[in-house]
Amino acid sequence: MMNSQTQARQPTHIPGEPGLWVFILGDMFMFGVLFCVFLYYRSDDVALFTESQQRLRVTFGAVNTLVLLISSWFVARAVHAVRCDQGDLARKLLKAGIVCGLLFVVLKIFEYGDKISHGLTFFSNEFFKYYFILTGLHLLHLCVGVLVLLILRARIADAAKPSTDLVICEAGGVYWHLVDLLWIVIFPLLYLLK
Amino acid sequence: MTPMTRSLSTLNIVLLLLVGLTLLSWWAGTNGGFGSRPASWSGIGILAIAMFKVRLVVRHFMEVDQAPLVLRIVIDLWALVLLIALSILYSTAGQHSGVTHWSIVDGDF
Repeated sequence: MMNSQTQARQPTHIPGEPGLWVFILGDMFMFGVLFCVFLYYRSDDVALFTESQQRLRVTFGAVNTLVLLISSWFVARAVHAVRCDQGDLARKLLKAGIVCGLLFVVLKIFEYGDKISHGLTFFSNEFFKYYFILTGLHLLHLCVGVLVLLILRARIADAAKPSTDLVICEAGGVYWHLVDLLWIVIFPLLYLLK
Repeated sequence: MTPMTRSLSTLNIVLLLLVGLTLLSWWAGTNGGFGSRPASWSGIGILAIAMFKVRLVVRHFMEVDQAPLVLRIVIDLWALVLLIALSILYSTAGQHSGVTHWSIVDGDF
């Protein structure tokens, strides 16, 4: 009876380190509060927020979303490759993920440049204050993520302890996917909600 | 399904789904929503799609579908509570006719 219950129970596995999830959940909670604060201030002046939103180019936000989704797919496949002892493939996939991350940064620089050249800055109004806070904090997370992926790639190249590499690779992957999922919410909030 | 046997085809299908949902949101956000009445339902629909995408990323890319139940519940609760809070804040926002506060150096579009 005990044995059949144990067999029926699904095996569980925490990706990366359990301690990492304290940081991940804390970050998700913090951004969740920021998302609510943004919509709270929007409800104070919907006309201003709607008018300001029209100054954004939705294409930038949408393309950045697609770029991050594809990068997440590369990184998820890289973790799978490490698990299957395919170090060369994992390095190539991580490189592709890093390129996508850098492409996001380049697009964001163009977008910021476009806004600033039109006089739209942090101080323009409440909408743009939160636009720069949300996208800026996210960009900071993304830059750290690119650094993490670069370190992972170098570490896999010097592979000495595959099991340690797997835990570190999973942890790096989880962080990168956090960057992706935060943008998945930021995109509709800033660019799509009318 | 253990992490060792997670199939690549699952990751491919999830990516296609995420891209498809992103294109659907993009289309709805730039073409006046899903044609729903009241109009705020379109916005709530876009938020719901975003939360579904978050769940796909968490479950399949972060591999939380293999994690202990408590972690799965905490993250699902975060997404659900956030969706409800954002939907309420969005749909109850009043239309103010009036004063907008701009401070643009060069607002020429």
